[in-house]
Amino acid sequence: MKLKISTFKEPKHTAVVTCVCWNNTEDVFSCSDDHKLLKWNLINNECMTVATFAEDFFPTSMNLFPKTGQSGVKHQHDVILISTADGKFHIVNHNGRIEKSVVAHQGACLTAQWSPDGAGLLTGGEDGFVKIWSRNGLLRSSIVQSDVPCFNAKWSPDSGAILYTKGNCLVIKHLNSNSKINKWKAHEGLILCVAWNPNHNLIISGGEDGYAKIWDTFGQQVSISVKHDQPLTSVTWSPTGNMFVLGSYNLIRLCDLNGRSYCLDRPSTGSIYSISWSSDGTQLAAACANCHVLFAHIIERTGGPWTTTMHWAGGAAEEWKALLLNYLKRSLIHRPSTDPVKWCTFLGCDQSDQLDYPDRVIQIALGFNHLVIATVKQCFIHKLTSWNTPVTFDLKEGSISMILLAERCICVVERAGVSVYSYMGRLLASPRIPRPETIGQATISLGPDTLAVIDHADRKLIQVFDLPTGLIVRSSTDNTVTKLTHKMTVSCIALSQTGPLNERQLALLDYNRDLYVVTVKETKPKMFKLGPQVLSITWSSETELLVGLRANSVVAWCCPRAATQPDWLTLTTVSKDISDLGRNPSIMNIEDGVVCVRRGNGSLLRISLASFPEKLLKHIAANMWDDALQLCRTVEDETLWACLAVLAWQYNQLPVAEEAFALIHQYHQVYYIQHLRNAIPEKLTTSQTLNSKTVLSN
Amino acid sequence: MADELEKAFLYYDDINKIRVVDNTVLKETEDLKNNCKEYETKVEDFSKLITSILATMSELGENVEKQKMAAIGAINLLKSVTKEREDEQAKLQAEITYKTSELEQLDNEYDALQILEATQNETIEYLTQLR
Repeated sequence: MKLKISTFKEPKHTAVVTCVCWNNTEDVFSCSDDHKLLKWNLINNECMTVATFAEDFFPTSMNLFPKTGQSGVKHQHDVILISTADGKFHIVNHNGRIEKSVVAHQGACLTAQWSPDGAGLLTGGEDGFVKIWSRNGLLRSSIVQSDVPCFNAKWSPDSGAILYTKGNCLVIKHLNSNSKINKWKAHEGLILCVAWNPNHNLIISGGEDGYAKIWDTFGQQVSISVKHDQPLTSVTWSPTGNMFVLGSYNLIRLCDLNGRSYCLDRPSTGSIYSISWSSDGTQLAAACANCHVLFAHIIERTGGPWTTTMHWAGGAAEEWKALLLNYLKRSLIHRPSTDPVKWCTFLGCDQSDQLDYPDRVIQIALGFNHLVIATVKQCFIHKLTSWNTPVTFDLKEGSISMILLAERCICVVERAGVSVYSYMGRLLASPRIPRPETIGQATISLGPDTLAVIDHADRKLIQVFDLPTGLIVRSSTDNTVTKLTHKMTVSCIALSQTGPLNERQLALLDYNRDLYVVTVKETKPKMFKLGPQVLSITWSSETELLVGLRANSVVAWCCPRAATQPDWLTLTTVSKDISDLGRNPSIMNIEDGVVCVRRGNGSLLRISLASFPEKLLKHIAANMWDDALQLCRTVEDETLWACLAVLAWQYNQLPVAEEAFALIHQYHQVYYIQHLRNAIPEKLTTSQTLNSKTVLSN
Repeated sequence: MADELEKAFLYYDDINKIRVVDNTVLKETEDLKNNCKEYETKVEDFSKLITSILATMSELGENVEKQKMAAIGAINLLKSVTKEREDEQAKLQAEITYKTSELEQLDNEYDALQILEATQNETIEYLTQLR
């Protein structure tokens, strides 16, 4: 992953540029000490002066009104908030007319930001005050008074707290309770810039000591960047939060969540005062001290170890998973042409061809035999067998943040909302989910016929939407929504990828890192705990095999539904120790029993964990009990027999279950089965489920 | 006669022409005139010389100024080159760290894959033995 930097030849500003903001994916506003507000269009490389302000107008920060995507509230959305060095903040509309100027601080007003819900704004000044104002510019409260200047202040993503800098400390203050303050020393020098990402709720701070540090909301350090020679003047999260960019004197650096540097560039721009990401996360604009506004594209995003934009889930032929897609040019996906022969074999076509798209490509997802590519305006679905005839559909807005793939449908997360399409490009459903920009990888999960989302407001609540599948298309109103409530904040969810709708299982990780599993469609869904201290989970895309990652081991739960019986659960669980996982490891996928783990340093670790159990599960899913039995007899593995026993019991295959239980020494179960077969052989087919339930409850 | 004329400040010269000025004076006057002319030419020569010197000097000055500027420029360039080199070095260093980490990753991946291969071979062997 690299930054491709471009600037206009001549600077359009005549003084230091202090702030930039993206309007939409192609428009950028910039404001400079020459009192001008400029608007840049990146498609036709134009630059237009929107307004020239008064001679004493020296901007310090700028913030665009958040695009909430809710058209219900008809306020004027296109307003810009600019704070200036004379202690005022100004609300400016997109035509450059100042709608309101309010004196907010003594000395300079150093920072100003709209709240994410658009209800108010905060300002911080040299006088040490942090104030909150209504959206019309009326003072609501002075939240903070101190004797040191507040260089930067940010809203929390839920607008319920603010984060501000105080010397070398960071402080989080919750708005609804006066006492709750969380303050910690973050840097050795002054903290100049902070950013707070809505996706994973992590905070990043950059200081005069040359470090950028990532924190969670409790002030624990998550990671730290390398040391820079000059103070860091700007830091910004990418919208998805999987990387951030930091600016310093003559330096711009792109890093990932673990603080590892992807790319370093040293443009001779002077200090970079402000950096802003476009909402699709592929471009950024930076305000430079040498009067330039610098634009950068993220190129060469590979499907290798690092991206989260690519999903390698699911899958047919092993070969095309090695497919690396590079963003080489802006509107072009180019496959590496270094080895055309390989490409032929990979793709099963005669030549290595390259795909051209009319617009800039933003997101790519690969899996389930399809390649889905989202450009600014459209979405292209390529079937891997008929590569050159993609199905296309138009996107609502050009800021797509995520594509999820499942067996039968695609979920597209846009700023305007979440929509589910079939692979034929037909809109299946558009569930109403508030604030889709806060949805991250962990908070949404797509199954073949269900979509689960952690509720934005109440993170203990999970909403599961049934998606219309097959030929019947229901209107979006009668989508059935199941609401599951956990006793604790849920941090990560995953839906099982196979099986019929009424057996759909949801695995969830809560804030304590405990793993629970629940069958969604039960009348009284009950959470069964599978284990503690799980870092990351994923379902196999072909079977009901759940894999979890612990700090020092990887665990596969072959029959998560056996969680009702703890001893069965232990019998059907496979675990393997691994070391050197590094920081923040995660599970990428599991395929034929081979788990792919992404280590902290970005490398992929493939471990053979449960190849036989997965094979067994495949046989059972295909109702091939003889084959399953044969496999177990051949391999003679206790876990395998246990899996077979549990599953055969669940699927009413009593002879199979009997043999299997005998081999795992569960003799009471064997006797019970024998009793059932002798006593009521004729009723077995109907009463089995009932019986099994009574047994389970014992 | 001559004396009388002399009283009226009139003189004869050698060829008996009547004159208002005394012979000797006349001669001296003429000498003076010649000398003056000579002096004038000399002064003119001198001034020419001086202007030419001045021109040369100023030319020299300009040259010096130019050279001075060039030298300053060169010094600055040298300085900036050093800085550029430092930048370049930092950039390359970053590249090196990046590549090293990439290498480390690939190494790790290779090791993991080798282990995977070994386990898979083991499984294959185990299964073939069963037959």
